[in-house]
Parts: sequence; C-alpha cells; structure tokens
Amino acid sequence: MKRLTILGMAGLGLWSAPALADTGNLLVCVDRGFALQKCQLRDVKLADGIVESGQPYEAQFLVRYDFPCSGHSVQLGVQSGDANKFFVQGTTGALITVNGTPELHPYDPNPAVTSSLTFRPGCTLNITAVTTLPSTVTAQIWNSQAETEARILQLSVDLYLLAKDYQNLSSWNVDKLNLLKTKLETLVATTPTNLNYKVMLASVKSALQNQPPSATLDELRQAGDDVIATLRAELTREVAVAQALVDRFARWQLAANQALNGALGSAAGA
Amino acid sequence: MFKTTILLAGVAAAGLAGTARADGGVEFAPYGPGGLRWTVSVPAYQTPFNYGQRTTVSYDVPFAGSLRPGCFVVSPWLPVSHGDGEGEFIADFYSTWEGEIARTATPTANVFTLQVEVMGQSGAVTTQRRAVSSGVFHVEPIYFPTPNTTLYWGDLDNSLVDISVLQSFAVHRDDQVRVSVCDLAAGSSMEVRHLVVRTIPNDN
Repeated sequence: MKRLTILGMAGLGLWSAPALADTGNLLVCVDRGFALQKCQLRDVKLADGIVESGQPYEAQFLVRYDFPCSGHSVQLGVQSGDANKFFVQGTTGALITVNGTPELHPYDPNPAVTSSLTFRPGCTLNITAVTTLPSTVTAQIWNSQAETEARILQLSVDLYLLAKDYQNLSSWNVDKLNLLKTKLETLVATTPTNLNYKVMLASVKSALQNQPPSATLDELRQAGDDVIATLRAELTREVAVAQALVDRFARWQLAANQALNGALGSAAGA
Repeated sequence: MFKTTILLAGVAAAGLAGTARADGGVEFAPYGPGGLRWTVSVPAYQTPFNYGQRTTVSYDVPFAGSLRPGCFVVSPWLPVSHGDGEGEFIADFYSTWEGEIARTATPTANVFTLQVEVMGQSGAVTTQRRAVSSGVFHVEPIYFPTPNTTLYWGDLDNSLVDISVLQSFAVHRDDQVRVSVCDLAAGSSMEVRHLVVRTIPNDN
C-alpha cells in the first residue's frame, strides 16, 4: 500500500492541465479589400469540461487570445453553459477566465448584429491557448471528499487493526469493543449464513459483559481469521478509493489533502 | 434630381470591378448606432476624364472656359452591410465659379452635379443626381461686362464641419454605393479632397 501511495504522488507534475493549441482565425468574413464584412464566429470546441469518474465538475478556463480588430465594436467571447466572458477588442496576448461545467466554445450573443458590422483589414480572432483547471468550488468539493474518505479509511484501518488483535479481546476498552461489535453486527446482518461473524460477535459481547467467550479457541481463531480477511478486503477497497482521490489532486496539479495522505500512511502501516 | 434604373449585365463582374483593395484611399469609421462613414481620398479616386491633377490631398480641376462633362471623380463601390437605412453623400471640396448673369436675374447657375449610384443585390443600379447651384456659393458681383449683365464670382468650401451640399439616399442590406462628382460648368474650378458616404440603419 505504501508503494501505491508513492506511485500516486509520483504522478504529481507529470500530468498537466489539458491545453488547446491555436485555433486559427475564428472570425470568418467577406473581404471587401478595404474592409471586412458579414463576419461570422466559427464554432469549435475550445476545451472539454472536467469529468472525473463520470461526474462533471466546474472548471476554470484560462483563455489566451489575439483580437486585433478595429472598426465597429463587437461583443464576442467564450461560453461554458450559461457562463460567458467577452474578449477585449483590439488586444493581443490577452487573457480572460471563465468558470463553467460543460465544454468551452466561442460565443457570439448576436450573430445577426455581428454580420452587419464592418471591420478594418487584418481583423482576426485567434484563441492561442486554453488551460483548464478545477475551479475554486471544485477544489473545495474535492477537499471535502478527500476529508470524508480520510475518515472512512481511518475507520477501516482501525477496525482491521482491532480484528487482528482479537485474541486480546479481554484487554480492550469498551469503546474498542463497541466499535467492533457494531461492525460485526453489520456483517452478521448482511451475511447471516456466515457463522464465523456470529462467533466473533458473540465473543465481543461476552467481553463487553466481562464473561469468557463461549467458543473454543479454535472456533475463535477461525472466526477471527475470517473477519480479518473481510476487513482486510474492505480496507483494500478504501485504499483504492483514497488513492484515486490523491491521484486526482496530482493530475490537476492541486496540493494533496493532508488528512487523506495521513490516512493512506496509516493504511500502509496496517 | 432625377432617378434612373439600369440593369447591369454581368452583375458580379461589374460589382467587383470597382472594388478598391486595401492599398489606401478608402477609410471608414463607425457612425452612429450600427452605421458607417466611408471616406474616400485621392489614391482611391477613379478619374476617367483626366480633367485635372492628383495632388497628395485632392484632385484639382483647374478653371476652364468650357463644360467638363461626365463624372470626373468616382469612388469605388462601397458595400452596405447593415439593414435598411439612410445614406448621405458629402463631397469635401473647394470650388470656384464665375458667370455672367442678367442684371435682373439672381446669380444662380448649375456649377456641378453630385451623383449617387446604389446597386442592389440583384445588380440593378439606381442613379440619383443632384445639381449644385451657384446659389449655395458665396457669390459677389465683380463688374458689369454689358449694361444688362453682371459678372459674378463665388466660391464654396464644403466639408464635414461645414456642410452646405449633401445628397441623401436610401440603402438596403447588401447594397453597394458609388458616388461621383460630375459635369463641372464652364468658368469653374474644383478641388475634390474627399468623397464621404455615411449610412445608418433605420432599426437602431
């Protein structure tokens, strides 16, 4: 598990946020020689939205552009869903940012008006680069998910470590016993045919009542091994989930969540 | 002023023939909401009759004792991209005129003519002409050549900041407009500095 974590962190810096190359001129006009008229904004997909594990998240698109146009004033920009931002006419190497969830496209709020305008020769609109980053809101959501997963993973680690120590049930405190008892009750309820879960549950209840277990040592060992294997499998699954979240931070060049890193470290030591 | 409609053969060819390239002489600026003001200067002038000379700032037709017929300064075809609206042709010029007028008459005579041609999408061309009279010139009597006549001299400086002569016309989407100065009368001279056409859509 330690190896997995290290591999995930090694991904940091190898991935870069998706970027778009130069679109070429997006403003298609009729060249009158001394003027450009009947201009239309060409539609291209400028960038994909952020989708992680099938779930869309709000992105922050950084759009670098050249718009060296004079003549009539025109409003053109980029749009992602309902969010849009307009270019500044007459600039080169300028940057605008827009937050949105779906893919990013050029945006002309009124193509009929644009078509009726006149621009001087040399008027072009080039989007030279688009960089996609998780928005602040998305980063907050991902941190919240990471903290939740850190708690789940830590609980899974705790349960696994408790189960591994089943032979010392009599020395556990009430909190530990209750923690394992709750988990065993869930296992028994979901798999009522597994007698090993029932044996271990009965032993934990006995320990809570300061009574010796009714099962034999062999029965207890067999039940313990079964419960350990089950909890080990659950822990492995949670580690995979946590690792995927850590990888996502790395892939989008965000600082990894410390709580999740800590929980993964605990899991690696379990 | 009168109007003629002429169907041109070879519409596209005719339309393109007068289109200036971006090598100077045609400038434009936004005018009002959605409108445009074209300014045509010497490099883009067509001067088919060579009555005058090109300078850096104007096309100068000198004084002469006879009529200079025909359109002697012609703009390229200027495209209208906006919707239906109004247009104005303002010639930016300085002109002089002198003429012998009967003593009992007012000193008015046609000095030159402004012409606007509007070509629609179909290629049909509507031509409007407006004669500019010495009545709008600053005229003064010079002397009395005969007992019954007076020799007058006058001049007129017409520009965007002091408009005395203007020709209005209607435009439609995808029309092309060509403006000209024509038929300079005997006893006149003219320096044509710019041909200005401004159009504006009605729906703004």
